[in-house]
Amino acid sequence: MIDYEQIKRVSADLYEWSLKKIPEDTKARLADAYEEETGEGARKVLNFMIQSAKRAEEKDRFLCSDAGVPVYSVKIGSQAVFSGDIKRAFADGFEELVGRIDPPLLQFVQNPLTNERSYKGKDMPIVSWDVLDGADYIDITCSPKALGSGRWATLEIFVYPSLEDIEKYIMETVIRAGSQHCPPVMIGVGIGGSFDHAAKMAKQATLRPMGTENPEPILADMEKRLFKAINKTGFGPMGQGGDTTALGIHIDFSAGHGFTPVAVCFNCWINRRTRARIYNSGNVERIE
Amino acid sequence: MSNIHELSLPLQPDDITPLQIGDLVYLTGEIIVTVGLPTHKRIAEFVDAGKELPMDLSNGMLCQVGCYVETQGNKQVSRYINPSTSTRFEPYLPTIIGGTGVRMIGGKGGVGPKTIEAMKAYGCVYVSFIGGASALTSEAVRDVLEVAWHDFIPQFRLTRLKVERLGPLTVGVDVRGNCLYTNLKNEAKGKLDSLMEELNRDRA
Repeated sequence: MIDYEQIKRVSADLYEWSLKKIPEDTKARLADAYEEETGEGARKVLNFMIQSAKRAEEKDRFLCSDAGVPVYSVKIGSQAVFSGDIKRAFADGFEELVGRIDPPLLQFVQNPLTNERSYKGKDMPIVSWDVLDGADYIDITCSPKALGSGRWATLEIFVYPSLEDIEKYIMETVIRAGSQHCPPVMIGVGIGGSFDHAAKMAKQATLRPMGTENPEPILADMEKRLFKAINKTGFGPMGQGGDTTALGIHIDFSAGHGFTPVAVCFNCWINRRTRARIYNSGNVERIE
Repeated sequence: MSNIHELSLPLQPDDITPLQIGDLVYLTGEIIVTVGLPTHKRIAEFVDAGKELPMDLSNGMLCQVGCYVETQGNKQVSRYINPSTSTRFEPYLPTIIGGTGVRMIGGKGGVGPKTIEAMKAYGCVYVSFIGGASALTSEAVRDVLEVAWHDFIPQFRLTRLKVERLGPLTVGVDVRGNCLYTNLKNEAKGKLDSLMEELNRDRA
C-alpha cells in the first residue's frame, strides 16, 4: 500500500533535492562542454557554474536561489494501491517543506491576476498525471520551473509543416530566447497531437536522460543536426558568447490531425530534475 | 580578448569608462539589491517626484538580485543572493539611471534598448551575474548593512550589502552604449539562413 504520508514526504524531498544538486547526466555534459568549449570567457563561465554546483551540493545550499514553483510529472501504475488522498499529499508536502527547508525559500508563488506573492496558490504544486499499465508503483519526477527559462517556451500551430518548417521554427525560438534563459540549456520539443499534448510532450522531452537515443530514427537525426546548428548560433554559456548554447535537444511526437502544433521549451543549465518511485511494498527507490 | 577589472565602490565615471563589453569585473564595496518590480517602480516614482530615496544610489550599483536576509540574534545575515532577469525592469531603469547617478546596474541577461540609451546618456554600465551560481556568488557577501521598505516581501525590499570581490560579472553594456547581447543576437540572426542551409543538407 502506498500511503499519503509517503507521497507527501517523497514529493517534498524531490523538490528540495532538485534545488540543491544538478542531475548526474547534466553534470557530466557540463564537464564535457568545459573541455570542448573554445571561448576563453565561455570556459570561465562554465567553470564557475560547475564549481558553484559542486559547492551547493557539498554545503547543502541552493544552486539557484530562485526555487521557482514545484512542478511534478507523475505516472501512476495501474496495479498501484493507495491509501489516503494523493493530490492533497503533494500540496501538503510543499507546505511542510516551506516550513522546514534550510536555507529557507523566498515567496515565489505568484497570483497572475493580482501579482500577489505567497507560498501557496491555486493548482500549486503543478502536477501532470499519467498511467503506467502493469506497474505496481507511483513514479514521481520533480522539475520545478521559474521565469528565467520558463518565459521563453512557445507553441505554434502549423498545417502540414515540412521538417524544414519545424526546424526553422525551433531555430527562431532559440534565437528569440538568445542570451536570456541561462544557457547552456536543455531544449524540449513536442510535435503533433493537440495543443495541450504538444506542450506536455515538450516538457516531458526535457526529462529524458541525456545520451539516450530517440527511438524514432527521423527524430534521432533531427536532434543531432539541430544540436549542432544551435551550438553554432554563438550565444554560449550565460549568453555571453561561445560554442555551448545547448546541453541537448530532445524531441517527441504524436500522431494528430492535419494541424500540427509544435511546442518548444527550455531548462536552464541546472536542468533541475529528480525522480523516485514508491512501490506497493512501501519501498522507495530514488532514481535521480 | 577580454580584460579583468578589480573595482571598488563607489564608482567614479573614470572607473567605468575603460570597461568594454565582454570584460570581467570583480567588485568590492557596497551594493544595493532588490528583485522587486514594484520596488523599481517606487524608485522611479521617487525620482519623478524629487523625493529622497532611503539609500543613496549616486555613483553606486543597483542590482536585480534577490537576497534572503535572516535575523540571527541582533544581527542581520544574508543566507544567499542570486540574480534575476533584468530586461523585465525596462519600464523603470531609464528613469532610475537618469535621476539617481547610479553607475552600474547588475542582473542577468542584459537590458532593453531604452535602458541602453540611458546608460550612454548618463554614464552607466550593465554587468551580468552568472545565473544559478548562487552558492559561490553568495560567498562574496560580507555584511547586511541596511534593509528598507519593509512593506514589501523580503526579496523586494531594498537591501544594502557589503561585498568583497563579487564576481566574475560580465560587462554586458558599456558607457558607449555597446551591448554584448544585442550584438550576439544580431550575429545569430545573420547566421540563420546559412544554418538552415546546413540543416537542409544534413536532412537530405
